Formats: sequence, structure tokens, C-alpha cells
Amino acid sequence: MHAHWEGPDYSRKAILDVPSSYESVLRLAAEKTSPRKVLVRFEMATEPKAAAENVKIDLFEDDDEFEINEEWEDRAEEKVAEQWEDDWDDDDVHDDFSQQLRKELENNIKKS
Amino acid sequence: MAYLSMGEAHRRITEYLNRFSDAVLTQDGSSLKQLLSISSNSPLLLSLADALNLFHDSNRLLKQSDRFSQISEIVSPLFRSIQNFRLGNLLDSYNAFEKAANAFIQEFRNWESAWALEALYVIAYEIRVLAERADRELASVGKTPEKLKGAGSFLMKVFGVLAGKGPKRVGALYVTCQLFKIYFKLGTVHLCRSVIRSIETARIFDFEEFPIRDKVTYMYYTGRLEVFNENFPAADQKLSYALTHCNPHREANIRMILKYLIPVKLSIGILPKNWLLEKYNLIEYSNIVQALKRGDLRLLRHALQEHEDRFLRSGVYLVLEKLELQVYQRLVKKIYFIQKQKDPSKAHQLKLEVIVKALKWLEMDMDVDEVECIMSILIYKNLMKGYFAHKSKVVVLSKQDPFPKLNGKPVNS
Repeated sequence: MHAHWEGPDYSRKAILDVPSSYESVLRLAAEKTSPRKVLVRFEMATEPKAAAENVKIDLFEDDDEFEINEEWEDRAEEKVAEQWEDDWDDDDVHDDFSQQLRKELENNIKKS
Repeated sequence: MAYLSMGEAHRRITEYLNRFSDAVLTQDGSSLKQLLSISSNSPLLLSLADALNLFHDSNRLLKQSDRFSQISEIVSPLFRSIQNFRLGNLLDSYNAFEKAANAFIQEFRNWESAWALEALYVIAYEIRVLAERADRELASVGKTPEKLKGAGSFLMKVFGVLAGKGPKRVGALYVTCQLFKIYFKLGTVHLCRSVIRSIETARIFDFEEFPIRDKVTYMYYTGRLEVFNENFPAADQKLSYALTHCNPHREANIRMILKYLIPVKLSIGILPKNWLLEKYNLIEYSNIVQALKRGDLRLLRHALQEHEDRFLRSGVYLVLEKLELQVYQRLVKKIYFIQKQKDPSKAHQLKLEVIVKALKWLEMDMDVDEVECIMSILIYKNLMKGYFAHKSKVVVLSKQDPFPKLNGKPVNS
């Protein structure tokens, strides 16, 4: 189940060929080779799909391996409002980027 | 290595045996667990390993006393595992440990209370770590690595032992998390499904009863699965739980959660504040955030390129790439506001050629047809409200709320 959107492909990059099994991953680690690009893509299929194509694996030591340490006192840190902003999508066009955009559009209108 | 006498070796082994049998007799889980953590290279186990490698007849010692009869099925292969680990024979170490672990489970089943859970956790951890090392050894000699998979099967068995009505059931989540680590490493994450289903639907389990450290770990991994399956609302809920309840001192863990939570939040139109990115060293996201705020497609492209390897590695590249539509929305919205300032009466009519020019400025060469295509997609996905006057190449925007906000929901797929 891939949710791609169909649109101009100018921004898509080719994902290069990578080893597709756990064994070749280990072999590479042993040889200390580092292949270039990897796409980590997991699928919750109802049956395991024929190994290779769809299951590509992180080539490196799982550096996102969560550390499980001792228990602690759970003080749910509800500082949510301080961490995120959801009111950024405002109507303000006074920032630098917007000013430059405006200049660019005005120039072009004059030219054409 | 300092000289080790036969007598001293004998003494160390006997002492270990006494500690082991005492721990079992007095139901002391804390003491027992220290005797099992092979990969930790603790001084205790290192000195025991040296003793075992010198004094080869430890089985005779086991048979010497009746006190050791209950534990001998566990300790005999455990000794072999410890010896082999010390000698760097990681495959043999794993195979012996698996035998010891199975013997441990047989006894564990009979112990009624949950006194030995801590020790069980160590067994679960060690079997995974030793399997990883064994597989590395196998791969390095060109053989098929299959031990981690075997460790996974063992842990499923352990899960079954814990999935009952008694007090041992609170251990199930720890074992689940070890399984997650195995399945993620092997890339067989479809296997997570059955254990997730057991945790979340079986009546014997009450999620709130589990230790907080296991709940947080569980939410982290299941949250990551939701990200990969592009279920962003579910991913937001789980990863946010992990973030909220994570031990605030575990900054490495917090960083890992944020690494996945940030792309999710971006997908539902919520931005991380800059101090968050700085504090947890996630500045690879700062240009992406900036690009969204500005409507700067060129910046988004650069940001994706600059950190491509990192994003690909963690599997969030496609999630971030899809933010492009939201950046388009922001850009078009800005053009709309700029026009509105000049001539409010005509602002809701956007000429495609104006957008083409803006895109050209952002180093994106597209013709009118391609831009028309993108505008259609924006409308289709409800990021823009209006219709298309094809002949005059103009987008006519709705006068009311032409650029609907996401409001915490992902873009329609």
C-alpha cells in the first residue's frame, strides 16, 4: 500500500539499487562497504510478501533503537503548547521572502 | 592475564552456583538477574568465564550437590554460553544460551509469583543481543544468518507464557518491545501485527498496568509503524504519547521520538518551534519548516537534497517530499495576498502565468499546463477552493476560505 500522489515528477529521485535482505546487510557490514541510498519501507501485509522487492532494510545499526532503561516516575510533561505552533499559516506578507516574491511578480508584469 | 589457579577457578564456579541456587531458593529476582547478563561483560561474569575456561569439569561440580539439581539444566548450558562468549565464539555462545533460556522458561512457568520477571527481562534482552552477534559471525563467513529469527520465535513462546491471568502478565509488554526490535532489524515488521493485536485486544491485558518505560517504548515503535503506513493521525497520537511520558532525562530517546513525530506534525500542518529542533539536534528539519512557512519550494527541494541520506535512512523521505503540496498551497496563498493588496477586486482571479513566473523565480521550470495540473491537484485535495477557467488560464478562487487549513488532519489522499 503506497500512497503516492500523481504529479510532476521533477522532484522525485531515483532510489538506487540496494541489497534487499538481512543477510546481505550483514555481509556488507562485515565488509565495511557503504552503499548509497536506502529506502526504508515497511508494509503491514496480510501475508509476508515474496521477500525482496517490498522490504528494504536499514543498512546501518538501527540507530533509532529506543533505549529501554529503568522505570521512572511518570510526570506526563504536558508542555505541548510550548513545543508546537499551529497558527503560523497567517495572512502576513511582510516577511523577506514575500517582499522578494512581490518584487519579482511586479517586475514581470512590467516586462510583459 | 593474571595467573589463575585451579583452586581459585574452582572457588569462583562454586560461588556462582551458590549464588544462583540461593537466588532461586529465596526468590530474589534482583540477585538472579545479575548472573544472567552475559553480554554486559560484568567483572563477575568475566572472572567466571576465565575460571570455566580453566577448570573444564564444571558439570561435575553441578552434580556434586543436590542443591544444584534444580538449576543444573539451566546452568550447564549457561556455563557453555559464558565460556564461548569470552572466547569470541558467538554462534556457540548463542546456541548454548538458547538452551539455557529454554530451561529457564520451564522453571519460570512453575514459579507462581512474578518474582523472577526481572531475571526474565535479562534473558529476553540477552537472547536478542547474542543472536545479533551470532548472525554477524555467520554472515562474516558467508553463512545464512538465522539466529535472530530464532530468538524471535523463542520470545513469542515467552509471550505466550506471560499471556495469562496471573501477575506475570505485566512482563508481556517488555517482551513485546524486544520482539519489535527484532522485527524492525530483520525488516519483518508484518510480524508485529499479531503481538500488537494481543496486547491491544486481549482482555487479560490492561495497558495502564504495564510499566511506564515499556508503554513509552511500545508507543514509539507502534508510532513508527503508523508513520511507515502513512496513518498520520494514529502516528501523531502514539508518538505524542511517547513524547509526553518519556523520561525527560533520556534525551537520546526524546530525539528519536521527535525524529518521527516532526514529519507527522508537518503533514498535519503543525510546526515544531525552533528551540525544539535546536535542543534535540534536529536542525535537518529547520529548512523544511522554513520552506512551509514561506511557501518556498526551492528551499524545500534544497533541504530534501541536503539531508537526503539521513531522511532515506530513517524512512521519512517520502513523508517530507509530500509536503510539497502544502508548500504550493502556501505559495499560491501568498501570491493571492500580494495581489489582494494591489487590487482587492481582482485578487481571487489568479492567472496561471503569474504562478509560472513565481515558480521560475524559485528555479522551477514549468509550463502553463504543468501548473494547471498542480492547481487541479490542490483543488482536488481541498487545499484550494475554486474552479478552473481553462480557456483563459485562470484559477477563480472561492471568495470564502479559498485556502482551507488542515486543522490537524493530513492532506486528503
